[in-house]
Amino acid sequence: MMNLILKDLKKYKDFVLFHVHVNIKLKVSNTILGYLWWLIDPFMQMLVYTFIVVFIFDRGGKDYPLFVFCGLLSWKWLSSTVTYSAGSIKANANILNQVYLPKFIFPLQECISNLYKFCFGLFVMVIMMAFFRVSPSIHNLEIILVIAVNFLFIYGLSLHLTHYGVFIADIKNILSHTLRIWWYISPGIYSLTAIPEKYRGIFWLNPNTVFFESYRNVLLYHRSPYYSQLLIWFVISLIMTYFGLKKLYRHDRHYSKMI
Amino acid sequence: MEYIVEVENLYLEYKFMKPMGFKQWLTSTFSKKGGPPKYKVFQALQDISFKIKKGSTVGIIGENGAGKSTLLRVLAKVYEPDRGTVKVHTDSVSLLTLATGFKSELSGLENIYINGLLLGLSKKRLDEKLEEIIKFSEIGEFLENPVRTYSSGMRSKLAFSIACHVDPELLLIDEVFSVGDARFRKKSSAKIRELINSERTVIMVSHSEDLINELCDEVIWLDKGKLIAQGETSDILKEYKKFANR
Repeated sequence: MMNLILKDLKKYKDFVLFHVHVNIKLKVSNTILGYLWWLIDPFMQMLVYTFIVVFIFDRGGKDYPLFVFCGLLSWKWLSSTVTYSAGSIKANANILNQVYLPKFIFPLQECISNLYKFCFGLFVMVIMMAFFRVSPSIHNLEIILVIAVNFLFIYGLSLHLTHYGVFIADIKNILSHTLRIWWYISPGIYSLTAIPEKYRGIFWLNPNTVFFESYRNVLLYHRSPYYSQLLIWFVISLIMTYFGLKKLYRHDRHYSKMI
Repeated sequence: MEYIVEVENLYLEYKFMKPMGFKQWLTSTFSKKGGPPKYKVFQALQDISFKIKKGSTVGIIGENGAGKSTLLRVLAKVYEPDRGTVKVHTDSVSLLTLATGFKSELSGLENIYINGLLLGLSKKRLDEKLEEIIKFSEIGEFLENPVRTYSSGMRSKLAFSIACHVDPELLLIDEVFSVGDARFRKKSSAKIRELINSERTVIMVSHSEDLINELCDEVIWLDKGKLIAQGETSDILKEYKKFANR
């Protein structure tokens, strides 16, 4: 199977790259403000959470906007990719009736497009950091490792959802509720330290805990990311990706008959 | 004479998930005996066997629902057979269907690239052929506009123009002869005739007996998923006419 995937990657490389390019344009095509929305979207959410947590509940600390922005960026990447992937085969039914496409490229190009958005958000984050007088540190560079594992996790998860999205009609609803719950049980709007010690172990079972806390470490707190947990999730993501690809390839030619 | 397509005992079925309420879904999933089947099965192709020689032009005829488009899709590797073997001895296959796969928010130009890349053209070839494709499709100044502003005729012409510049060894044509106004139809038949040279194998689905008569060396007749006959164009068409006028 690995040979098949490498062969397909080579063959469809141009298509994936062009599709990513086009997808990015598509995301802003209907709007007047265009790429500005990529800034406004997370920014607005950050303002709302800051209002509730800092002004209403009087918690969070002075750097709260930066704090919550970190989690928001990573989360948006995950939820957008996963939601799109679940519907991707059905959405591309037209094309799939005309030509064969290996299915793993749908979540791949979406993950890459959203990574692009994530990086745009990071750029905004840097500006905000300057505004809040957070000094840069050598640890900022370690973000690349966190991003890499984050990517693999999101992609591995999306592969499985691409498959199930074909069979489960209610998937959009199920996903939207599951994702909402997942966001709130992840330390995005609150820090892990807000959770009592005895429960923190459970929180570490959530990959987003590792990602969010690591992003904040390298950007805001001049610390290294959580390397041992990242390693664990790297391996888990690798396994998830492997089985996801296997599943998609096994059913590859039968999807078009079902949509 | 080498064969470019060899099909043996091909079976293909479509499975439709029965729309069912939650209660029915629960009972059918968890009941011990398996409950009522969740799928409705439709036998699209049954026990089809045929061979096609390299370089020939073959027509596929049959009533609606006979399985013609399905057969083309199997040959294009879009569908995998449920039973039987399908051997296509070339990697360069293109399926020409009606204006599908366009992203309506994007411009005609971007869609040319997307579609062209999809159909197997490399970016380099696309750059070379871009002028030709644009000229043939006659979309003119609409090139930069989003496809959603195109009329259906323009969309079909653009899709046709892209697909016929692909240059495959095996060309599969699914009823695209009826698109466009009379003038474009004349242009597209001329282009199809150009494409039907001795090197290229063409398999076309059409309801137009005149076109099949004129262009095809042999004809395959499908009815309700079964292969009724394969042979010389004039012979098969005669039988088909009798059948159609029953």
